[in-house]
Amino acid sequence: LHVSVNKVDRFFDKDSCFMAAASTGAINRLVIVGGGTAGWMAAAALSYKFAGSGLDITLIESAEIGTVGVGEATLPHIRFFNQTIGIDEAELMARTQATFKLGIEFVGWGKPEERYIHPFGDFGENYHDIGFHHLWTKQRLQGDSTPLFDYSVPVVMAAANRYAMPDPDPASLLSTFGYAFQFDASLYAAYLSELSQQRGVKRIEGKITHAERDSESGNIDHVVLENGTKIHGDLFVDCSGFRGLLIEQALETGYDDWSNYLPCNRAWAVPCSIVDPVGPYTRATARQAGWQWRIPLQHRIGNGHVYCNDYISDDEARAILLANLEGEALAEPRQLFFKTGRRRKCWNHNVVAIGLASGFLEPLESTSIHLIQEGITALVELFPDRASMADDAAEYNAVMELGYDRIRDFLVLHYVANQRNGEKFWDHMRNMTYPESLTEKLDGFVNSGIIPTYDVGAFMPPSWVAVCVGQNIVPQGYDPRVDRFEPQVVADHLSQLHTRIAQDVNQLGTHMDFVRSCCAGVQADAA
Amino acid sequence: VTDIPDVVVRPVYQILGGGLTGWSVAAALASALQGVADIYIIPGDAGSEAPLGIDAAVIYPESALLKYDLTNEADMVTEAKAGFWLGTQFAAWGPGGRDVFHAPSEALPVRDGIAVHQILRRLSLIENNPALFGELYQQLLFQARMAAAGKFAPAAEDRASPRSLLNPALTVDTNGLALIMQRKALALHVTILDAPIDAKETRLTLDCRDNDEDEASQDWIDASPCFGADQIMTARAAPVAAHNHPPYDSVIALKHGTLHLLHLRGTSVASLYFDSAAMDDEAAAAALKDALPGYQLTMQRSGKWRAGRMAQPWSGQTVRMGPGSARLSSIMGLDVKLLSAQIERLLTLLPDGGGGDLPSKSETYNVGVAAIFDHLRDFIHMPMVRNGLSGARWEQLRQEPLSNALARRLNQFERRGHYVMLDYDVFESNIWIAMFIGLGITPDRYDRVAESVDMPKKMKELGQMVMAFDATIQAMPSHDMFLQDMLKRIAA
Repeated sequence: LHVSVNKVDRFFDKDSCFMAAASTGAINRLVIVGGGTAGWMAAAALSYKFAGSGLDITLIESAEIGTVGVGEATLPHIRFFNQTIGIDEAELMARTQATFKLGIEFVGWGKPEERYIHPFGDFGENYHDIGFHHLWTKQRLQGDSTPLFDYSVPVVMAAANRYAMPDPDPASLLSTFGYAFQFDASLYAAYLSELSQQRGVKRIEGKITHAERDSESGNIDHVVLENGTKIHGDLFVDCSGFRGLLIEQALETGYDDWSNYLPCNRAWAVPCSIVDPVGPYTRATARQAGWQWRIPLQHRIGNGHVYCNDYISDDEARAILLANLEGEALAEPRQLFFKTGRRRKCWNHNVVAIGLASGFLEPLESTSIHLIQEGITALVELFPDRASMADDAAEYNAVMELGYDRIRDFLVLHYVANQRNGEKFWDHMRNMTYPESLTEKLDGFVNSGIIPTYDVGAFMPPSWVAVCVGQNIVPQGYDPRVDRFEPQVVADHLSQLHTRIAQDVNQLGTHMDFVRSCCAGVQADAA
Repeated sequence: VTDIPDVVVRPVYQILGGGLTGWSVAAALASALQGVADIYIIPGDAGSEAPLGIDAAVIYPESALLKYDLTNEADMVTEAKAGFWLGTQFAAWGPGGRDVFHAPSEALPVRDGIAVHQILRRLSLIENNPALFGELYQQLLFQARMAAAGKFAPAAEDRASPRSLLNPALTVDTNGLALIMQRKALALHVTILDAPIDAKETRLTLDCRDNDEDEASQDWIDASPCFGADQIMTARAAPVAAHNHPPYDSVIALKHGTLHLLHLRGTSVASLYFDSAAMDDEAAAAALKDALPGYQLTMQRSGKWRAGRMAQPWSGQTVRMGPGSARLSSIMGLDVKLLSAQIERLLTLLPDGGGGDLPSKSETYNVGVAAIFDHLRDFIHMPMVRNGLSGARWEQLRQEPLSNALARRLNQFERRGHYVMLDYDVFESNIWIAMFIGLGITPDRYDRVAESVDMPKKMKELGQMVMAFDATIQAMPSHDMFLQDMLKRIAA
């Protein structure tokens, strides 16, 4: 086991010139097809992670082709992504007109008049190794009507429009939440574009007419621009959006259609002005054949209406959106068309599809940017060389497939758990056959408060509890270990927790004051 | 008609079988349900002998037995002949006859998000010296090096100390531990019965017996081919001359079997797993004796042995627990690690009495326990198929098919040093990676991200880390000395 000290010194303390070990199969030319959020996130991450490795990155985008840019709300994981690619949070806030996000408010998803917040954080505190929701269930069965959501710090903060960063002291209740951002996706892309180009990414303005494949390997050899320029690459990242310029149009990878589970297929999107101070949360309001999003930023509110055109006309959907804006519309509504599902292989030959080119899940839980991030993170971890690309692709596809499937189940949960009786779309959603994997999870929660636990996936147990309880799926039983504590002891514990949360949150300043103070430093530096 | 008064019916749990499994389950259950359930145990004729292959165990720091405060370090040292355990030595299993150490420590701090093994692989390619990769990596395995040196000191909280990387466990005599569990269970009002209650009258029956019939049933998923063994011979092995008590267990490859040696204070437990087609009991006894020349062997026992697990250990109102439901050998204390995982899972899934929750809870239990078993099986299968051993037995074992998960893991590590994260995994990434590298697996290439590392600076940093490890290990007492001091402190 032991190597002699001299040998260790020789290698560990070596100060000779280290040359990059160029492997014969190294990928030297990477081409990103498409700008927008996905393209520039990929460019920023890859140029940062592979700085100095000799990787030449080119991004091709065309001003003629618009970006979808509706992914404006994020999940807490985005912070890790930003940190690992060297983005300063305060600068991001200032540059993208961002606000903080503590969760998503769902309006009318249980019964039409009900609302709840799916928070980024825990409910209460575990008690002697017993999940908090078991304590709450027992209290509830004994007649205590305190909502579970009153025991969530981020819910209480969001509802009160308060904000502060999580307390680093794990003993503090104010340490029990995470946060994400709501930002202007086009400004985010522009910011990342600037960063990427500073890091050496070459941007080519141009429209791709087609791609040429290598006759032997079937890999994409180069793409051809309208002006006839050929751009060669060893690896292509397809961020061309729904059309999947390389992954589908060139490679015909195929698409798994999940419309049977998630039939919404269109959306209208429009920004509006801000009327009241905005809170640190996104909102999803159920409508007659879909739902409406509201994402508050510093300078405007992003709005959209996702719907299924089998149940409502485009004009009706547009009218519903415009009738439910809280401020003045700042542009004409844009219509989007999509088909929920996933590319059969997100990585096929030498093309990795990221963002909408890899699949689409409606943005009900702000997973669009999250899936881009997951795709990029997996690509960095599995960055190939030419010799073993098939192994890397197989692993990448397995990781992305699982990620997509688990998010799909979580989204379907929102629909099947609705109680909007008598509305055609919602009756259909409630009674449809849903994935078996979801049936098992729901049965477990209803019967005994069991929550799916897994290590790989975007949504962890508190998220499942939030949506289930928020939509009136309440466990019929609880962990019998709760019974070993005197009922009054449990009641006192919950009551004290309730009071502490309210008191702690009450001491915090408003969300927008916090946002302004966060951006002020950056603006002062810039000045 | 008489009015029937409201009576709170207390749930009844019964435990079939005593021994370490039965008494641990009883103590854990009684601790979790203090005062709100009646818990009965029917020890049966378990007697004082532990099941074959379970004479000694490793109790990991995260074990349910410690987590639920059922025992503690001092009790195990004084009453169960406990010593400290830093890892498992696969003696001469590595390339070139090198020892391979599995030492489940904390991961090395990674400041720049680039794993150390990726940087070392880059270095070994620059130097055009593949062997350098493994050699240098071993220097950074603090806990494994400490084990190999026979030293011991407890973990430190100060992150600046190399000892903050430590995650030591304990080796225990299972008879002694069973007595501790029994005492705890009885103190928590577990009642001993002579005969079982009708299972229908109980909320749950925990069947902790170890029956040969289970392993012959169709519900048993066989893992024996991974070990190339269907028979076990165990013995107490007392060292003839005084020697430092090694803070690790050893796995020794024999011509027709695999010998496992787990050390307790003052004695060791030897378990020989072998194929009855290649060796009878007499030959096994001789092989055992030959392999352990410095030990006096006593209390020799032998019998059938079959690794594997039940497909549905929880069925209806009965849960099968312990080695009767899942068995993977004493190596690394896997059998008792499985028991601990079963107990932990059971306690979070106790039925509420309505009956409606049983299908979900039993399914959740079965899925989780199976996944944990499969990960552990893969982990122990890895050295069986990727080693530097020679001989027909080992050639044959290397041909055994891998599970899909292990094949995926091996492939990704061999290609690029990538760790595949899977649900319910038992070991952290650094533990898998250390094992891959210890077994001589050198990735074909390194991750591209390692290209951004300032190599001279990084090597200097790692060199300083190695020097700090050297100095820390040098200053430590031997494991024996540490134990003696500890016993004096406990006595005082």
